[in-house]
Amino acid sequence: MGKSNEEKTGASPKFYKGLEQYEAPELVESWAEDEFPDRKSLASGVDRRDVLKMIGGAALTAALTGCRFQAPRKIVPFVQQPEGAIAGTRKHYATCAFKDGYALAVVADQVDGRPVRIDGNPLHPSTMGGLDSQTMAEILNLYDPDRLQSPRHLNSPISWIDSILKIEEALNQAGNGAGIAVLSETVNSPTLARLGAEMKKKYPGMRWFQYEPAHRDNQREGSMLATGSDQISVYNFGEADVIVSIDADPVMRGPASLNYARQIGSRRIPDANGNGMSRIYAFESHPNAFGITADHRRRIKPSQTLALVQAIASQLGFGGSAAVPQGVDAKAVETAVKDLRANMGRGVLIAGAHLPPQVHAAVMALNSAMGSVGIGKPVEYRANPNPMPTNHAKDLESLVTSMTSGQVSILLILGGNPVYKAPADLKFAEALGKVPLKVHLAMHDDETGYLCDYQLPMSHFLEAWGDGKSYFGSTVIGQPLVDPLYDTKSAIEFLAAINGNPSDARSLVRATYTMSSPNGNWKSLLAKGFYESISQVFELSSRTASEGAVNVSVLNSLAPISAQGMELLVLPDPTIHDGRHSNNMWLQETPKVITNLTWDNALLVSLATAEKLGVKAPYDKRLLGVPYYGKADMVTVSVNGASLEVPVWVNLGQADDVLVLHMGYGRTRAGDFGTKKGEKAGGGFNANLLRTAANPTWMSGVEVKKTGNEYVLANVQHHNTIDYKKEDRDREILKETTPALLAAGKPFGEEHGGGHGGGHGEGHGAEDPGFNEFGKGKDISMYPGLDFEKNPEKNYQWAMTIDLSLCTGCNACVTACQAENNIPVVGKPAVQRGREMHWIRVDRYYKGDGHHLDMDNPPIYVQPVTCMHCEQAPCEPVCPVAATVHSHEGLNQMVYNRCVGTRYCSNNCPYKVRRYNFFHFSQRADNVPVLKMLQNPDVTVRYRGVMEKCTYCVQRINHARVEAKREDREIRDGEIKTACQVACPSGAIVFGDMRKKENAVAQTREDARNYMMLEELNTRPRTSYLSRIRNPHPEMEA
Amino acid sequence: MGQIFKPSANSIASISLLAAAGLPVVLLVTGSLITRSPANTKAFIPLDQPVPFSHKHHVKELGIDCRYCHNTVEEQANASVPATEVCMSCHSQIWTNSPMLEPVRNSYETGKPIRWTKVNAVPDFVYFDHSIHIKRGINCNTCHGAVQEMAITWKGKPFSMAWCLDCHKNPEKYMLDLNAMGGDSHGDGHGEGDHGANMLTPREQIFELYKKIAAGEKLTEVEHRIAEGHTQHMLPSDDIHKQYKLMEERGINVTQLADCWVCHR
Repeated sequence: MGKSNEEKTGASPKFYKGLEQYEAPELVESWAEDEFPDRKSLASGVDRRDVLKMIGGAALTAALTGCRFQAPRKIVPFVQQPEGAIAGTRKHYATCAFKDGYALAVVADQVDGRPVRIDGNPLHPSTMGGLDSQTMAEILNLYDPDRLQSPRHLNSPISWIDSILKIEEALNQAGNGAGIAVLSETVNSPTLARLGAEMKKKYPGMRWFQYEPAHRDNQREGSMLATGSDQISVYNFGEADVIVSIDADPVMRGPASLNYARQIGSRRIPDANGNGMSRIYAFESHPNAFGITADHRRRIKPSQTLALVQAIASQLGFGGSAAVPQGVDAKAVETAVKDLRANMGRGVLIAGAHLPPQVHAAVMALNSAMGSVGIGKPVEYRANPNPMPTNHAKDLESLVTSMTSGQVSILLILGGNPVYKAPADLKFAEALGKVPLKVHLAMHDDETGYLCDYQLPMSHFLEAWGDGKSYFGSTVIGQPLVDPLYDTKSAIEFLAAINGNPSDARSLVRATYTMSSPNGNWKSLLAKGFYESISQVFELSSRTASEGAVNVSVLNSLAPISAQGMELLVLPDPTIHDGRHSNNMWLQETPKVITNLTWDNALLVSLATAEKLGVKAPYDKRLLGVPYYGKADMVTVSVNGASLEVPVWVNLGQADDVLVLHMGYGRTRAGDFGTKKGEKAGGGFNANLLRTAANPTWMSGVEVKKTGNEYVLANVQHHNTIDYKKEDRDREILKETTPALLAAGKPFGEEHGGGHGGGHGEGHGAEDPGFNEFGKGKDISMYPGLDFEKNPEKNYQWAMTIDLSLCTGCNACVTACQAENNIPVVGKPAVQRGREMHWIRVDRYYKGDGHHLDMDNPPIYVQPVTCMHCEQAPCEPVCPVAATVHSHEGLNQMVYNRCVGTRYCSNNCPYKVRRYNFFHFSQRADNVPVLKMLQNPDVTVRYRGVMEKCTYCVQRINHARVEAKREDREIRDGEIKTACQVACPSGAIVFGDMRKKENAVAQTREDARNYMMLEELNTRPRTSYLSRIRNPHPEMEA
Repeated sequence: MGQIFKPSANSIASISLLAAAGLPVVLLVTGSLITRSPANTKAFIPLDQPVPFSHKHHVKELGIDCRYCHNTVEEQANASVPATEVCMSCHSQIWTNSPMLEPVRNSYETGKPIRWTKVNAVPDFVYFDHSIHIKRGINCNTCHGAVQEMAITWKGKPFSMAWCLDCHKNPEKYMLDLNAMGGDSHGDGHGEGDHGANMLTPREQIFELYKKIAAGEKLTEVEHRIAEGHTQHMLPSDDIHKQYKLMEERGINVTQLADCWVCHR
């Protein structure tokens, strides 16, 4: 467009949605302005006559769909009504889910006998009420149409009784059991461990192995080095003033992340004097959710992490003379050390699970040396609560050795999919072929089941009795919400059955625990969901007095990490994990944190590395006018003799020469959604092919070579972009401050109003120059006052506040909303066209100062955006059929049956929060019977051609209103919680009636940090934000 | 060559023009009449049921409370259709050999539920809650018609959106305080019906009326109208201010009642 460079940068906002916006703002503007940026691909080969034909056809079919005669419906009451079974009512049951080998206490909802939703259990430290995307999406795994539904032997049907008898017979023939091997995922259930021990009594020679890729081997071996035993680090981030992350992501990864997110959040809001806020230093190989939360984020290679910990230790005076590794910001290390010294005993380090054991040992030793370990201190070392802790990688290796040498005659695989998940160099499938009898108990007919003799269907945790140990030591009991949908058994039931114990799972689980009274105790236990008392569960009995047991001198005697060339991290995927959720369409479509990729994995690299490899960045000018955003160059990654061709995705903030690839993709037998289908439908690339038994997560000496092929990824980052026009460049969508500025009465930072970072204030007045000539716009309207202004007491006035200081960008709200509001999945091609249906999205921004963006390590910000429920909603006047109108309670109502699909409302929405159902995306819910059971009965399933958007979970509002009216009272503050609010692990979302000053949401609206997005448009949003607080060290730039 | 158009062609032309102008109106009116007619709404049409259950017999003649069978109507969105065992609580003792009750006995013995034909249905995108309507004193018959007269149940009202909104927009037209009404009727020489009536909550008033009906007591004019399910012009217009006051007393928020998301979501 012939803009000079100066004009171009001047037009750029302070926050960039991506590299593209900095490099090619006109491209991003065209995406934002154009309704169909990819129309060329849509209209190929269509001429005027075809368009007319289609219009005619559409009009006819639209008219026909309007005429429908419903067959008379039937009412089918019970014959004998079970107690409490009332049609249409929602019941809550405490039960037990699992994350990375430990139990989570959850509460599952059931309507008319079918489970419909999973939330965290607020009484238990493992979730504290919040929940992550994966566990919430487990409800879809239950109804997965591709589940294994009945037992099979050599691909032909068999009954459970026959299979159990035959397996039992084979076991008995094994004599003392020397040839029997059991392979399970992490054994977390005390009942399963008990049954395993009983079985071992019968077959003393049998061996039990555990393997899952997201294991804690590194922490375990690190703890062995530092303390001589397997201890887990349980962090009390609420007690930590300074947190130094060594490539860790405590808010999203690991079994304790939900608790950690809540605790870290509790220290991210300073008091009135600007005190009390924690300071977070994140040294990361690749940006993750904790890096977003951090006050200082610096890049580091995984191989440098041990040296970094040792450098910190030596600067703190704990011996050694390690230097800060090359390329790591020495000033940042120095500042972190200064902070740690000033807060001795109140500072803590945490290392990422993928880092080698030495790093974990060093971190444990350093934490101990700083006096930060102990009860009431930032971290406690406790005995591993799992009943059978082991080293997974070694377990799998020794199993493969035994199998290969023919020592295993019977292999029972209880859950898991080792053929796919095992590191490729173990050649697990080959070894499996040498086992005469292979039994696979699993939920899917997957890669492992395909190679086994018996394929036995496993129950989902919502269908079976179970139990588990939480990371915090307490025992969580899992009760079923529904009888098994298919002919399935749980691992507990199966193990009991093949050992001739025909008891039902309930009595098996119950027999594991001693009860003070036979019935009362058990019932109250099930009501709360865990064995310990509510007062006990936060104060745990399993604490070991292991303070001082740490050998601090280990710090400087650890074997150094040697690395050469590029380093590769293979990590569990942030959505589909290690592949256990491959067939979960919700998670496949949930944007991955920070990269916002969906449906595929890609090799994440820094910009400099991409340039070095000669692959183009996604913003490449050549892509202007190309239909799909997200075309990526492919490279071959080779390491340890294995190689894999994958597309490259540039991820700003990643360390140079570090490659990140997520697991879980490239499946060959995973069902409709999980199986790799290539460019058109996604499915990604199998990272396990690069993993080795010796280095399952971190590898060095990696070779990368461009192949010349291209691959189209589906990325949502630039979808639903808020329109940045040149004249509106000063709009501030994100605002931030520091504790000191906040205390000084500057809740939006030093330069608030200017809209630009340091030194870019020309032409702007001191007071609110960011707003247009109409001023701040609070009370300017040519329309008569709104009803709630005239009668403020009359109606509830709903409002939501999102605290940007607490949001980590984990996307839990997206899945929570999807489950609650029956939001359909659209598939990869539709995502590429920007047609994803999520009612809440998490925008990611890179911060620059208006002239410059740090391409190596830009500060990253996230912001959840959902319908603002504007009091003066721009969508409403443009609707020709009044399908979107305002309620008296301040809700921007969307009436599906009135909507004719003009999409004017979406066009006029400045926040771009409306979603249009272009095709019948909810069709699967209609056509696949089992998926009908998944739908939330309180929310309409929308049809094609209808606009939809966030409703503030109006079904929950209505329910609470009826209940309150029935009881002749007002709705209490906090009685209504939206789905996203319940799920949010860090508690960033507040919802309620804003009329009453004492209500939480009214207080957040009075908070100095409160602001409305695009306030100058005078839309008067009900969803407001609290500005982000960053707490950088006074002597260092963020 | 004769004239192609005879003089009569003029009248044909003018009639055609009139018809062309009038036809759309006629079509629209006919269409809307059809959609509003029982042919479409299925109102007033008794539907076949597996068991010819008579509300008339059970409610009016035997005086069984609505809540004996529809037991969640005060607490839940659904009123509940009774389980077979509820039928059998009486019919294991009486009419034990009646051929009409064969499906009931059969269901109880085999454990297979009775499949009733749904009479009163709202579409899936309408979220109706019985409990709040009962709490507000909306009589069953206001929506379901004269149930106590139905030998075979029919839909007593059209259940169209306009019909719902008529009350949701102007609830004062339908909200009754039988306490006050009962007081007026006291002078009619009917002494027993209203003892303690002033104490009745709106919810209790609903079921009090059925007791009166079952007992064969004389109903006031207003009560009679409710019982018959005649909701139109139920109230004398001069009472409207009393009605507004009543709405206020009962805390009914009229402005919000007709918001879309009250029933749709």
